[in-house]
Amino acid sequence: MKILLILLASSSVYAQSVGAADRLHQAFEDRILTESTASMKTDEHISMYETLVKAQPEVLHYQNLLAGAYIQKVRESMDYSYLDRASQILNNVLAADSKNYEAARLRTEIALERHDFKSAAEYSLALTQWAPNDSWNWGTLGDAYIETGNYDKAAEAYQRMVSLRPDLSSYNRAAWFRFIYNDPDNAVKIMQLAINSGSAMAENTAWCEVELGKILLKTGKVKEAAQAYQAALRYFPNYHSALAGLAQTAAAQGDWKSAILNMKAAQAATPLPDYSAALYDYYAADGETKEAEKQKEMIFVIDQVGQAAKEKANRNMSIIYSDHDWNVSRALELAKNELEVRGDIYTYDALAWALYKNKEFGEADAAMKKAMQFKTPEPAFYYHAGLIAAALGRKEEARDLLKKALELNPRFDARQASLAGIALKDLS
Amino acid sequence: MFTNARRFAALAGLLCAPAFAASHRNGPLLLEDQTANLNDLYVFRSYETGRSNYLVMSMSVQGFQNPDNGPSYYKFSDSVLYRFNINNQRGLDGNPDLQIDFVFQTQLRPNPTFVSYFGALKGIDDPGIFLYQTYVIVIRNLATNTATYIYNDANGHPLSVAPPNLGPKSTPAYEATFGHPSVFTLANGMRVFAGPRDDAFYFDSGATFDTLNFRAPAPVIPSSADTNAGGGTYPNAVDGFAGYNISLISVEVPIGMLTSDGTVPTNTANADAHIGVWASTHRQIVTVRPSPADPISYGNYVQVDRVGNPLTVEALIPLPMKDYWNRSAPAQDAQFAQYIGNPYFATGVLNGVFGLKVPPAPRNDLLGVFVPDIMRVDLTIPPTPPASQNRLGPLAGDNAGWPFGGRRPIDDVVDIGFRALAGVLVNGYGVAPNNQLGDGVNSNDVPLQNVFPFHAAPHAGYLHSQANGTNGKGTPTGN
Repeated sequence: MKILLILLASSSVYAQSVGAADRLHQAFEDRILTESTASMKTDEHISMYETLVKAQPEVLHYQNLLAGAYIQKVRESMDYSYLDRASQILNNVLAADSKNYEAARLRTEIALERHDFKSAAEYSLALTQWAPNDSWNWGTLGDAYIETGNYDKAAEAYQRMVSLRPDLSSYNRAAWFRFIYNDPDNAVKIMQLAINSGSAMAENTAWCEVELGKILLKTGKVKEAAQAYQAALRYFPNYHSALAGLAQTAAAQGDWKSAILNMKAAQAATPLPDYSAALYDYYAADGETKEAEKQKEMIFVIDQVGQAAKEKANRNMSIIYSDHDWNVSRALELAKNELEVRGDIYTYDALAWALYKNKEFGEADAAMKKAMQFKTPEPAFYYHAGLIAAALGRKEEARDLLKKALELNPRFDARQASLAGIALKDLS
Repeated sequence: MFTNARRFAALAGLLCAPAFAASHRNGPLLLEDQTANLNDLYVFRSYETGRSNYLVMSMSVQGFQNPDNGPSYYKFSDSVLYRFNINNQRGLDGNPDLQIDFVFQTQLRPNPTFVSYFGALKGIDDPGIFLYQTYVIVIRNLATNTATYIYNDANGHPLSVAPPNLGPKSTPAYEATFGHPSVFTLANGMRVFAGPRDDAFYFDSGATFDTLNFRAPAPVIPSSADTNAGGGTYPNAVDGFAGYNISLISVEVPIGMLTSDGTVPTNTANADAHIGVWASTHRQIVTVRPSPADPISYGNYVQVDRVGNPLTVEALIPLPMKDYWNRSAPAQDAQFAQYIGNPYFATGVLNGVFGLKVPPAPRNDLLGVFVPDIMRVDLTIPPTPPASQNRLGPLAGDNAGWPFGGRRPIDDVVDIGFRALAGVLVNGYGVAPNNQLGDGVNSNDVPLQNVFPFHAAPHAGYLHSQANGTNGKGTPTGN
């Protein structure tokens, strides 16, 4: 191995008190620890770093490693208590050393996870000036821009990122950008490059497989999508988003039993409202009304919890309500509030859909135009746009849009696809 | 089904996970690049019988492979270009003159199971090899701007990657059936190999990481343990790399193909007597924004990692500059000299903590080896026969080892590097205890081979045991 470095790294304890050596120390251990822990799982990383932090609390680098492992754990488990723990560690590190680069980098990830996109952009921008050659910072900058709808700047940041270092992190972002810009074929190719590039963390590769599955499913390649979700599960067993993806591919083939089984597994791993909504649709389609009602009840409970926690913005919940014509005024409120923190095409779509359901067709139309500015091949976008056009009396356009939604994937959603079909028939 | 208990459980989960949790695209940010990271580079004149006029170059990637990592096992990345760079002119300035590229292609063959390899395999062409990798070699001569593409060996056989060593049932007699048959002779006289091998690197990483808590009175090893034979010579020293595999890419090239004038040099004073070698990995840039005016999605290759000497300077480079270092060419390494010419390990630890007298900065002896960071080989040094090789190489009079004759698998780069940092190559510092430093692990966990590709066969998955709780470490698992 790159070994003398390991020897050198062992000097880190002594290096703590020596200013000149501090800069060496961080770089050493990152390398050594990650190489020697390459085959470890995240929980093993956490327990190892926790031990190191306990043994040598003065070594800030160990604190950063632990925070990084906690953030990875959030990715894997959606258990946000780990995010709070990571955040606390990083705050402590930055309080002790405001110039701690590693902690500053990780802090940006925390801001993104918390949907504090404004701070994420500010932090990232400062970091790109601090270290313009570190691809990581251009990645978080692009992420913040994407979420706030600043697509031109996001493209620039991502281009810097992938030109500095083509790897799983930069490829997956480039792939997603291509999808947004209506280039799904190249999006698939680049996402495959990301998967092929791999990561020491199995979840990272599984995440890219899931993204690949999403792109394939939205563009009607159901079987290939299922393969991608299966691959994700081989990398990272019981991954909730891969199970949910598998359920969607089963639903797209009318296999409600399998769809229910997989979505329930996803829900058991992480009880997201999106999974309850999907289960509601599957149970309803399968004639199990009682089970469907339980899922509906769960969604309302989730929203109550959100309200109790003073959650005002939530575009996923908004779409669930709009999709099912439940509580459409709340749907509109959630979408409008979401727009205050982010201005991406998905938020405009949620807003347009909620406005439509609240019969504010003119405003819905304006929002939908923003959502579709790049002709992103999202069947739901075309479906929403079609219904809005129809409501405004633009029948021919409505027909084209609905046709396009169903062309992309005739069964893009367990419930909405058939509603799109009915609407199209009504227009003919 | 939707009992109160269940609802409560769901609620508890949600209180931890905000309902918006899944609604933004949290793309992973890499802490470690698995497939493109290079581990070690070995370059040496072949000591295989009758082949002393060949130079062997091997790079290892994906360290710490668990041999039993079924069902997928490890593979070379199709999106990575693996490259040997050879500098044979201009006084070894760190610019390449010749490049040998490996590009891999993976084929998934029809197989009724998800298992990558299934049933008893009979050889390297067995259709039961589900995950079948082949490679193309591209030899680039930068002086003449020519490139030669090689797809098959001299007999027309595709250049295929050796399958993993699953165990006695699936891959019986591994080395005879799969290892050696994966060594291909090319029409131009080169031999090549790509596939899993035992990691030839050996080192008491556990003790070192525990603040130089060597199992000998740190960090000096007594003369009784300072031998050339046997692993773990010093009681309880543990080879932290034992039992793990790596993926190896190896070439054996006629020396005349590598020198600037096409000859096998005999006079060390001649300019063509020395070459410098480094390995690098590359991936292609993609264009993020689709544009009708620029339909090309894929751009140039970018270097993502490189390795020259075992004392890789990469980790000496501060984190904000790491990507930059990895992307840059050795020819530009002078800009990093400030991080190399005064290593803290020498002044702060060896001198400051253990009281050793070390040469003063700037350490020109180190800069001469590490700037530019290329593996230097004096091609006029004859290879030492295996029986006479010394793990300490030039420090023990065996000049065919690191850092004069390149680096062989046997070379104890830890002890050599340790002592070099203490200044033993500088006049007046080759004294005790500077020349007694070491970690106590003096050889690899399994015997090396005396034939190409020299690294030992990979540890078998079936025999690999974690039963003793060491996670494979320190547990030779044999073949």
